[in-house]
Amino acid sequence: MNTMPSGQYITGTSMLHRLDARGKLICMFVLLTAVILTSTLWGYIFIIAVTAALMLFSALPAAALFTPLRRLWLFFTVIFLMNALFFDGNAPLCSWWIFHITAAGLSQGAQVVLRVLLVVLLSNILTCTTRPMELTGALESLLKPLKLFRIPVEDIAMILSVAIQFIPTLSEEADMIKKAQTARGARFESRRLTDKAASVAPLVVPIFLSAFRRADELSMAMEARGYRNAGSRTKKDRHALHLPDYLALTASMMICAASVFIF
Amino acid sequence: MCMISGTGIRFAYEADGRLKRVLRDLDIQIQRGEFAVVLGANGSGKSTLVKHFNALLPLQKGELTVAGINAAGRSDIWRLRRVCGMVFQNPDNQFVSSVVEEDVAFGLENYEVPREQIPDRVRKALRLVGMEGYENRSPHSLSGGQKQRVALAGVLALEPDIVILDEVTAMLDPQGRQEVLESVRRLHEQEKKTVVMITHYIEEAVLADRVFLLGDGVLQACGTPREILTDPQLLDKAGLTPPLPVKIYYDLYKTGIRLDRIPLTNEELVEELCQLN
Repeated sequence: MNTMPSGQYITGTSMLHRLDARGKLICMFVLLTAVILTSTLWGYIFIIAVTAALMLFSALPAAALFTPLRRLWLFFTVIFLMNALFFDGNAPLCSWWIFHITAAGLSQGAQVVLRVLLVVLLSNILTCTTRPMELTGALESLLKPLKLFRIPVEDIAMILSVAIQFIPTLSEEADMIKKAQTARGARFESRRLTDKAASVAPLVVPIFLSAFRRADELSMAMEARGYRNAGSRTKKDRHALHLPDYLALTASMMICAASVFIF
Repeated sequence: MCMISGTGIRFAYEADGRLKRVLRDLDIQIQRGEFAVVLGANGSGKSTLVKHFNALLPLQKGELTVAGINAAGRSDIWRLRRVCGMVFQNPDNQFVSSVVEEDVAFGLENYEVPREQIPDRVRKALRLVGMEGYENRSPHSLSGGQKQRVALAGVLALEPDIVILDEVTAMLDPQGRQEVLESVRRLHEQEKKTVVMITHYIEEAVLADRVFLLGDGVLQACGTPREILTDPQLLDKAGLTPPLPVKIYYDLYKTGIRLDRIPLTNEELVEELCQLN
């Protein structure tokens, strides 16, 4: 029943595992910027190559990185079609009713899909190579300036990290509820759109209920173990960044600049 | 000396405009170092009762002192939760990290234990429940019994005097139950912790020093497992059925076969049956 949890930390000693979480987090944001700003074919090829290299460096099993993508195929199909069919462009390749397929639309659709794909992959590499509490600490220290505006930064970081922990549990539960509803005659496989929409309700309602129940139990368990607010906890070791961390930061900034200005 | 001493504990909540009374002026005394089992049918208020011990539920009426700390005082609440640890029923809903080591350290960090002490205490806690070597695993990849033992380690890392177990075996398979019960037994015998275990599995009550039988929001009876579990009328009143060996004793009794004593465990039953001729 416990398959490979997607996007969860996987123990390892690779180069990426050893980097400082704060550095990794910034690197990821820089690379995400590169993904969003790129718009040329060579730019994409370059970033795909960088992502592939990171995957190799991380020494993670490919399944761990690609499983979350499999769940998104419907989402990808929909954004591709939306862009391909509705994008306003000149010289449609073919038109029918309100749909116009244009070269620009097709390329736009492909780009959006590719970008989301890269974003998911990159964030997966981050969460798979960083311990959850280190990630929480990194978020905390990067968001620290917001404390000036009295935003409870530590609590927000804790909430985010706990929420990530529960993704596999909830998706496992969604599968189970789906099976249970199918056993009682619910039809998820119907081809008619109206049926499909109606069949979502018996799935979503129980999942929401259970998520609330879990949150309630978890918060009680956290309180029982002495959690007051994230501010009054043992402070994380705050080492200065080391040479490899600076190298990684420089490299990711150069990658970002290259993808924007060169390609 | 009394580790937990409560008198006149009352708890009620309003649902659908009606007042639901869960605990009705309940009195309870648990001794230091005791292995207490709180036994009761579903809805008997046992979970509600123990949630008062570490002030997860505020005391509405009555008095409650736990390890010398007044549970009604809001100022001592965090000190109270440190000496009185609690493990919950659902193993999946009490983990805050997907790395065992980090999860066990969670409580220590909450009490601002200096960072350099944390690894040692985490290792020690995991050793106590026989989970050393799992430091870097993800709780999701463990069996139910292992998850509960890790949860127990998370509580033990804080070195509490009292460990409360709220139906910790209810969602486990038989093997997981055995593992967890074994850890709990060792905790009580070797570490001399006061253990308060809630259960509706009557077989688990056999392990106790003293059984507290709850029904209808009051303490129906309290005594050794032999006193409580061999009394079918008493158990029936609390909505429970006696353990199998006890049932067999009474069934045999009805057919005219008398055993020398009422057996509590299967082993005792076998012994008694072998002495028949």
